[in-house]
Formats: sequence, C-alpha cells, structure tokens
Amino acid sequence: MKIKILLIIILISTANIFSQTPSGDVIKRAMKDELQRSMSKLTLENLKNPFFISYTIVDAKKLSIQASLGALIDSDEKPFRSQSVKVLVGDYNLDNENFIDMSSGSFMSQFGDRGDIPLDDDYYGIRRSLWLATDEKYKSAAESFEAKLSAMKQQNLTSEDSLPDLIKAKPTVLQVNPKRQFEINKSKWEEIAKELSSILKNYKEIYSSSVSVNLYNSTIYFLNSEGTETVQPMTIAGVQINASTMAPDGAPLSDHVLYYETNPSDLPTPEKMKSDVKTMADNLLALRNAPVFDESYSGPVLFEDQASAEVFSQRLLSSNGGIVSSRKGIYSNPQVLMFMSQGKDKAMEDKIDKKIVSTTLTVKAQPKMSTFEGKNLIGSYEVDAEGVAPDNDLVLIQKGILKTMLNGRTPNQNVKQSNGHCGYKLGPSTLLEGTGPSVITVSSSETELRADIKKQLIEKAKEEGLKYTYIVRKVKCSNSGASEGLDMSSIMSFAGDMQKKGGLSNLITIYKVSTETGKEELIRGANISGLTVASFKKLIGTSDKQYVYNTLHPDNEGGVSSILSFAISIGGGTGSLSGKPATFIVPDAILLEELDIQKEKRAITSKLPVVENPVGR
Amino acid sequence: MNQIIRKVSLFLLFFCISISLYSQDKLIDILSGELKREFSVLQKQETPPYYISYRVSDITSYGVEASFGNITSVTDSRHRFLTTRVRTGTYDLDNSHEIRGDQFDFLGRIPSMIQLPLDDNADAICQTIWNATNKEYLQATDKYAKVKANVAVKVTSEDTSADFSKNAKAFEYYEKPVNPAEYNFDLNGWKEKVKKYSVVFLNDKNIYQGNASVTFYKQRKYFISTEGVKICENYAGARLLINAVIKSDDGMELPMYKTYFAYKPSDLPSDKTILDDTEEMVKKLGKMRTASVVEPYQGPAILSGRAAGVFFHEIFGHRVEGHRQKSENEGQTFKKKIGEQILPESITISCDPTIKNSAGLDLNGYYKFDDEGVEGSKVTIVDKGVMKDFLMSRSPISNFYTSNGHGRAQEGYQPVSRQSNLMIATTNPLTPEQLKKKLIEECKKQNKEFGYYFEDIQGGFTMTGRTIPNAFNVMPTEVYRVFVDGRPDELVRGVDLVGTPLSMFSNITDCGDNPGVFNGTCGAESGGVPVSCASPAIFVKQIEVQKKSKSQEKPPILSRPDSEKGTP
Repeated sequence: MKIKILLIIILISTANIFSQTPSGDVIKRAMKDELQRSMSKLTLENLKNPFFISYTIVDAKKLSIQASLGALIDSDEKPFRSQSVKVLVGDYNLDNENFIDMSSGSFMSQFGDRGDIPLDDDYYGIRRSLWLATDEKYKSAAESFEAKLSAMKQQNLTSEDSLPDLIKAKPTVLQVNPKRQFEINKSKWEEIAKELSSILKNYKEIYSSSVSVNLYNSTIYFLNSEGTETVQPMTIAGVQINASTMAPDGAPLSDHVLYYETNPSDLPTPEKMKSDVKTMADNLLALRNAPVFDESYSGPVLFEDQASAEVFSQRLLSSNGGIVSSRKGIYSNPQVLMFMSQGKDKAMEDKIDKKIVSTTLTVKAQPKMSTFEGKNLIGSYEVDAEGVAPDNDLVLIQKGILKTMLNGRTPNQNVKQSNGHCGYKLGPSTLLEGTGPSVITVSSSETELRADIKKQLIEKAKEEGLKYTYIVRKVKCSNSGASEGLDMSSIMSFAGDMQKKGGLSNLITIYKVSTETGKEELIRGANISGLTVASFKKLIGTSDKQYVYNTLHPDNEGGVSSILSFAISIGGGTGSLSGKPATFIVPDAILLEELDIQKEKRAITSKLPVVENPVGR
Repeated sequence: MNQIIRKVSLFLLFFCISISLYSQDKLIDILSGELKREFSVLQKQETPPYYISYRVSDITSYGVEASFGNITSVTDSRHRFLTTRVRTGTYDLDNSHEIRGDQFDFLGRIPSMIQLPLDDNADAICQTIWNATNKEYLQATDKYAKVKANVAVKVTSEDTSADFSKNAKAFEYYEKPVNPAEYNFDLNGWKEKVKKYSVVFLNDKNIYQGNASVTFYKQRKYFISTEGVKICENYAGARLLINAVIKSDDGMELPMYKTYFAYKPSDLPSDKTILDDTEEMVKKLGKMRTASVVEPYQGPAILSGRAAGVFFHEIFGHRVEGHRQKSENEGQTFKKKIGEQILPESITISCDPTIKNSAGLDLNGYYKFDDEGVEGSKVTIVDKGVMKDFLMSRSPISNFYTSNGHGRAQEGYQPVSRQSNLMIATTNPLTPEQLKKKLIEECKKQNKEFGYYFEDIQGGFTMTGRTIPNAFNVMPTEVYRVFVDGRPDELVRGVDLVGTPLSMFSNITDCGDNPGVFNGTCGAESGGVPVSCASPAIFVKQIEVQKKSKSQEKPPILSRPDSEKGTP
C-alpha cells in the first residue's frame, strides 16, 4: 500500500515538471510586459485612458475525429493558440461594457479575438499579437464609452442601468498544474471511432449516424492589471455518437450517446461504449415503431437519470428565466432592444430570499469539487475566466429559498459580488467566457427509494383520475454535436425554439405507464411545455440516489447571441465541442406534480426516402 | 453482320475501359453503383429525375502562415466533398429555371458542404450519397412544380432558351494518381521558409502586419453523371503570399501583396527572388506611408500587365459569363454587342482553360474538364476588337446553345459560367517607352500636368445587376504619377480606379509588349474558382480615380514592441 502511494506521488511530481516548461514563462513574461506598457502608455487625446486591461492566452492541442459506418470522415490534430484581450475605459462604476451597440465592434467581441499569435514561444511575437489587439480594443472601448454616455443621457435609466459595471476583485495569483498527463493518441482514437461507428452498419432503419471524438488539452494563461495572474489547465475528452432516422409517418427521430470527461483515460472502455451505441440504436428502432402520443396530458411526470439532470440544467441553471445572472445592458437604440429581448424569460434577481422551488430542495455550486464517488467532474475549476477563485460551497437555493445567483464580475440588482462563475466555454473556434454552471449539486431533505417514486407517480395519477401517466428517461441535449444542415426545416425549428418560453428540449425516450398495471410502453411524438422554475415548487418525489452528469451546458440566453450561435453552428459543420463544461449531481429521479404534455408540432414533415437505405442490405 | 460486329467490338471496347477504370479507383465504382441504383428507382416516381450527377473532390491541403518570423498557423488536412445535382423536368424546362420574383431564391443557392468518408468504404459513402440525393430530389421536385406555375403566370421571359443543353456524349476519362514525390510538400521546410520571408518585415518599425503564407493542395476530382460521363482527374496548386500593411499618419491602411503560383511547390520561386521582392516591398511601404494622397482625377493612364489582367477580369470577364445574359436580374452589358467593334482591332481576348503556362508562369485557370463534365475549350470572346462569343456552361442562352466548358463551381456549389485563363493579346505591341510617350502626348492634349501608372492591383469588384449602377471598382496598391515635364515618377496612395465598363473600353487604345500574369481565386455565386489573367500593359485615354475610403482608425498608438528593445 505504501509503495503505491509513493508511486503516485512520484507520478504527480513528474507531471508537474513536464507542465512547467519554460514555454509558460515566455508567455507570462510577454503578457506582463505588454500589459504594463499598455496600462502606462495607452492614451488618446480627449478620450479616457484604460483603467483595466486583461489578457487571456490559450495554448491548446486538439484532436478532432469524425467517423461514420466504420469510415473516417475527418481526422485533424493540431496545436493552436488564441488570445482574448479586454480593455476597459471609464471606471468600475461606469465603463464601456454592458452596452449593446450594433455599430461597434464590441458586439462581436464575445466571439473571441483571433490574433496572429505565434505557435512558437517568441517573446516579441506574442507581444506584437497582444499589442495590436490591445490597440484595437482600446480604441473601440474609448469610442463606445463615449457612445454609452451619450445614450445614457437620452434614456430614462432603470436602477439596473445604474449598477456598477465591474465589481472590484482581490488579486489572485495561482498556478494550477494538471493532475494527470493528457495523452492524445490519434491512431488509437481513429480506430475506436471507426469501430463504434461501424456498429450502425447493421441497422437498415437508421438513416444517418456519426461518431465524433474530440480531445482538447489546453493551458490557460490569464493576467489583469489588478495584479491577478493565473495559469490553469482546461481539458476535455468528448465522444459524441449521434444517429437519426424517420418514423414510417415521416417524423424525424434522433438519439445520441455522449461522454464528456476531463481526460481520455476517464472515458468508458470501447466495449462499454459499443454496448451503449447498440442500446441507442435498438432504442431508435423501437421508437420508429412506437405509437404516437395523441392525447393532451396534464398531470404528474417522472424524470429519471439523464432527463432529471437535463431538467435542472435546462430550466434551473439557465440565464433565461433561471438562476444564472445576466445583465440587460444599455441599448444604443430601440431597434437593438427589440432584437435582443426576444425569447427571453424574466430573470430571477428580484426573487432573492423568496421561495422559488420546493422547500425540500437545496442547490449548491461546488466548483472546487473535482471528484465525486470516484468520478472526475468536468465542471470543476480553481479559478474562473475573470481570475476570481470561486467559493467552495456556494448555496444558491437553501430549502427552496433563492439565496444568490451564479455571477461573474458584472453585478445584478441583488448579487453584488462575483462568486467566480464567469467560466470558460468552448466556442466554435476558441474558448469564450460566459456565466454559467460549474459543479451543481441538488439535494433534497425528503428522499425515498427510487423504486417507490414510480409507485408514487402512479398513485398521484390515480388520484387525478388518470388511466395513464408518463416517465421521461432521456431528452435531447442541444450540444450533442449532431450535424444540422441549413435548410428550411432547421430554420423553422430554430424559429420555433426562439418563441418557446419554458418547456424542455425534444424528448428522446418517454414511457406511457398504465396506472392500472404499472406497465410501461415506449411512445414518441410528445413534447413537454410550460416547464419553468416554478414547476419545481410542486416537486413531490425525490430519489435518494444521485446521478452524476458531465455535460457541455448550452448558452441558452435567447436573443441575438443565440441567432449568432445558430448561424455559427450550422456553418461549423460536424461534431465540434461547444458549451460550458458543467457537472450536475442531482437526484436520479424527480417527480413533478403537474406538467403538460402535448403532441409534437412540426411545420413540415418530409416523406420517407423513395430509394432504400443502401446500408444493412 | 458487319454492323453487329462493330457493335460488339464497340461494346467490348467500352467494357474493357470500364474494367480498367474501376479496378484503378474504387471510388468511381462506388459512385457509379449508387448513381445507377438511385436513378433507376427514382424513374418510377411521378416526377422522375432526367439527370443526376455526382461531383467528388478529394482534397489534401497543407498550409503554413507566419507573421514577422513566427509561425501562427499550420494546416495539414484531407477532406472529401460531395456535390450532387438532380434535375427534374426536361432539358427544356427543369428545376434550375429562374423563378422570377422569388425573394427566397437565395436559399436554393446556399452551398451544401457534404463530407464523404475518406476511406473507400461503400456503406458509409453510399449512405451519405443516398441522404444527399434524397434531399436534393425532394427539393428539385418541389422547385419544378413552382417553376411550372411561375412560367404559366408570368410574361414570356426575354430569353426563352432551354435550361440544360444536350451535349450528352457518353465518355470516360481517367488519370492515374500523381506521383507523390513530384508533388511533395515539405511542411517543415516551408515553416522555415515563411519564417525567413516574414521576418524581413521587422526592418521597418511602422509595418504592423507582416505575413508570409504558403498553401498547397492536391486534388482528385471525380465527376459522374447519368449521361454516361465518368471523369477522374488530378489538380494541384501551390501559392505563396507575402503581404504587409503600414498605416499613414492620417490612418490610411496601405497594404501590399505579392503572390506566387505554381502547380508544384518545388516550382515556386527561389528564396533569393522572394527575399528580394520582400525587401523591395518593405522599401515601397516606407515610401508609401509618406506619399501624397490622390485627388479625384480624370485623364490618361497606363495599367501594367498584371493590373490590366485584374481590370479585364473584373470589368469584362464577369460580363461575358453566359448565364448573366439570361437572368432577368442582370444588366447584360454585352448581350446586344455581338458582332460589334468594342475594342481596337489590334486586341483579341480569349478565355482558354487548355493552357498551362504563359510568360514562363504556371496558370491557375487551367483545367481539362469543367464542373459539369464538359471538356474545357478556348473561347475567343473578342476577335480583332469585335465581340464574338460568351463563356458558356450547360445553361444555354439565345444564339449560344452549347457549353464551351466554362461551367465551374467550388465544392458544394452548383456550377455557372465562370472564367478560366483570360488572355489578352495584341497584334501591335508597344515598348514601355512608346507607351509612356503615348501617355505624355495624351496628357498634353488633355492639358494635364500628369498621367497615372498603375503598377499593381490587389483585386476589385464589379456589379452586374440590373437595378444597380453597372460600375466597377478596382483597388490598386501601387500607383505612380507620370509627369509631362519629365520629373521622376511619384508614388501616390489612396487610389481607387472606378468607372463603367463600356466607357472605359472605348478609351483603351494600345497595348504593351510584355504580358503580366495574375493568378488568383475568383469569387462569385458558384463559390471560389481558380483563375488567371494574362495581359500586356494597356494605355487608356481616359480613366477616373477617386479617393479610397480609408480606415478611420489611427495608426497603433504605441510602437511595435520589438522596436523598443532594451526597455523592460
């Protein structure tokens, strides 16, 4: 036993030696020197000087593989670096941010800067890249600061508009070394992708399928003018298997298997993945032949496993009507406002210290918890994208009462401090930042055995005089990496999603349960609507077991940013990782007392292909 | 009997070809099999397709970018793109017909970037083709129904020619894969080279962007159609780009570019040539930063061969693309000019995809077959100054019924008529001295203190639509004033060359004797296609220049970090 421990310690220390290459030193020195020069010398006549500058440099290696039916479609391994520069003009109370102006470049800046940052460690090369980006950012910041002042003079400001723009933060100096070596073995993963995808060759009824493997290994350097200096790893190993087909009546059907871990060695064995793929394929076949939901249901609904985690992820931990803070910002003109606010639910700020969910529920953010019951959590980090170290145990909801919201350094009406939740999210081409969940734990003061919850569901349904009730086990994950081409139907469905307030993404597996016999029957074509945070007030059953869910949390902010991310996602092709790494540790079954289930509506239903699927003959 | 034998031998011949073709490239076999299956099943439909084609581009590409001596990006990838074409209706009227007044017509032109598996795995490839064909067949059927209704309710169109020409000659063409050694791209070697080239830009501290990049692609291109055409050919091209940007104190962005093209990376110019050119560019940029800004001017000018090439490409080439003579949204500048003298008798313009090089340089617009499977052929557009012909795809226009092999498209896009190698030739070449003399004489006649000499043009754009002014705008990067009184030529900045094509054409009177070549990628509705133009210098009696719209941003506030060496 002792020998083992010793070995582990040696291994860890070697890993540290490897990660502390001089490479990091050059990057840090170049960032520091250019930041100092910019802070002391950047100035434009008649305009304000910067009061805050921050630099982020991501030094990454990534491997991206796509395969279908046993054949490789794409396999690309490359190093890449990206930078992000923030320059603020004004002061902490009033700066150039939280201002939405279509005409200024600041609008697109949320999609990252793409400078000519050298791949080699050249001190002046890195400084040149930062120099140009800083210059550009300073000019646009100074300009938009003036534009913002002018816009503010012409508007009746709300109390939200008068909030400080940036919360002061204590300097953090932190170097986090990767816990383990992250190895990228291209040929090994090509083989696995091929093997996994070839399973679907045997399914004539599945019309299209893909397997994506994405390994992402990066070190993030962050520096700001307040003295914060952090270096931390960010790693993701993702395997996404998507398959789709059509039911005999033309209804589109799809399913996925998704694995996200911090390290490729945490991914399941190929055998386990194969059996999951097979289960998914069999489920799709079963769905094809499943009866269509054709009633209108209002009553108790039980969510199990992935569906339970997704319900919390999509509804509660959302900036669209959930407990993730988002600032409205000042608009340069009303046209912009019209565009931005569309499809956005009311935020929760004004509900602090009020009951928002069932009093049995307590929700915490625990970003520093990196493992749970032996599983590594991808939502965990030591310091966020603004250099703020998060609290270890942040109570968001205590016994049903909203205590605070996830927040970065931009305050809202009731949350005036950063709790370190402006994290990194994977964007189409680089890392971006955004407020969102880290490691979220949901616990209940009243739990029961999982098996008893189904009984409870049936009893409740009987009370309501229902012959049937429903269990949802899997819902669509919006960042599954499934490729969606740009055509009329995808535009329509996107437009449809925009209008939707509340509700849940498409259901993959939902079972109709007889209240008489308890017998379950798989059905298709059902949708859940009207699921909002308020629905959690009527939580009437919670399992005592936890479900640990590593996922990439989508940015469901609504408005313009979702239009842009939609545009990028359809342009981006197949299977790249996007979203904020997050972990949900939630009860593996929850029973909500009252929800509506409706028949799925589609604007267009295509005919089945005339020609037979060439596969599986 | 004789006839029977001939038929049999013909059959045998075909059979042999097919066998050899198939055994050499499995992908052709897979594509043909799926095409045959799809086409035969769809024939039983109410609206059957009359034509289906598959284009596959198997592209291996490499690239290295460097900025001031640092590598910033490295590409090494291989992709296979599929583009399908399904036509329903008849050759005369099919789903490709323009629906007049359709606001959403652009949706049909959005490219579909479908990636095929890289391995010759029949299941995986066929399923992708099957999905793509199904989707396109449904769209084609729907569109065809709308076309029929649109034709019925609208007035007769100006051009009533068919939608697809019938040059349905079945044939097979096969090229073996190229010898990899001959088309080798030494990635590490090129990293060192582009570093070496771009580091030269550090020599002027005012240069704030200084890049060198190289790209190389190797392509296996496949085309098969239900008309019995099977093509498999190779393309390759290496391009080196050197570019830098400097800003004048008034904020004007002054870029300079230099590109080199060759089919093989090994045929790109030597380090010495490129380093000399780069050093020259640094010097010119330095001068340009403090050069005087042009004022709007009308008067005589000389365009260098390369500049003239870009100019002809933009203002003329795009206007002789056949399909533009058909669309009711287009200006159709030259449609009614057939048989008319539009240029001096000494000038002949052709578009010729069959030439591989000119003036010792490889030409980027070379190809054997276009993207509709038609063999590319030389088109004499202007013969001795007289307008004769158009660039044709398989979309006929009145009086021009067949394709001359100019139906081109980028992967994922549907072909329209596009340029290949645009060649301008003169029977009366003048030496540079003679041209300059002409310029000065003309200046005196027009009472001008100076004329302009355009050495280089970075590119341009042109509008050919009916509802907008039919103007062009080309963006020169290196322009000189040539003085009547014999003072040395003066470098100037901030020039845009503008005008309308017909008036500009009527002022071209003479050509030089030394052809310049411009190799580039031309973008239009069918995506980016490789093209070139080769032209001698031209003398124009009257051109118009206007001030370039300039960036409103001041030059960088702080000096380039490396120029402050020694400070912390």
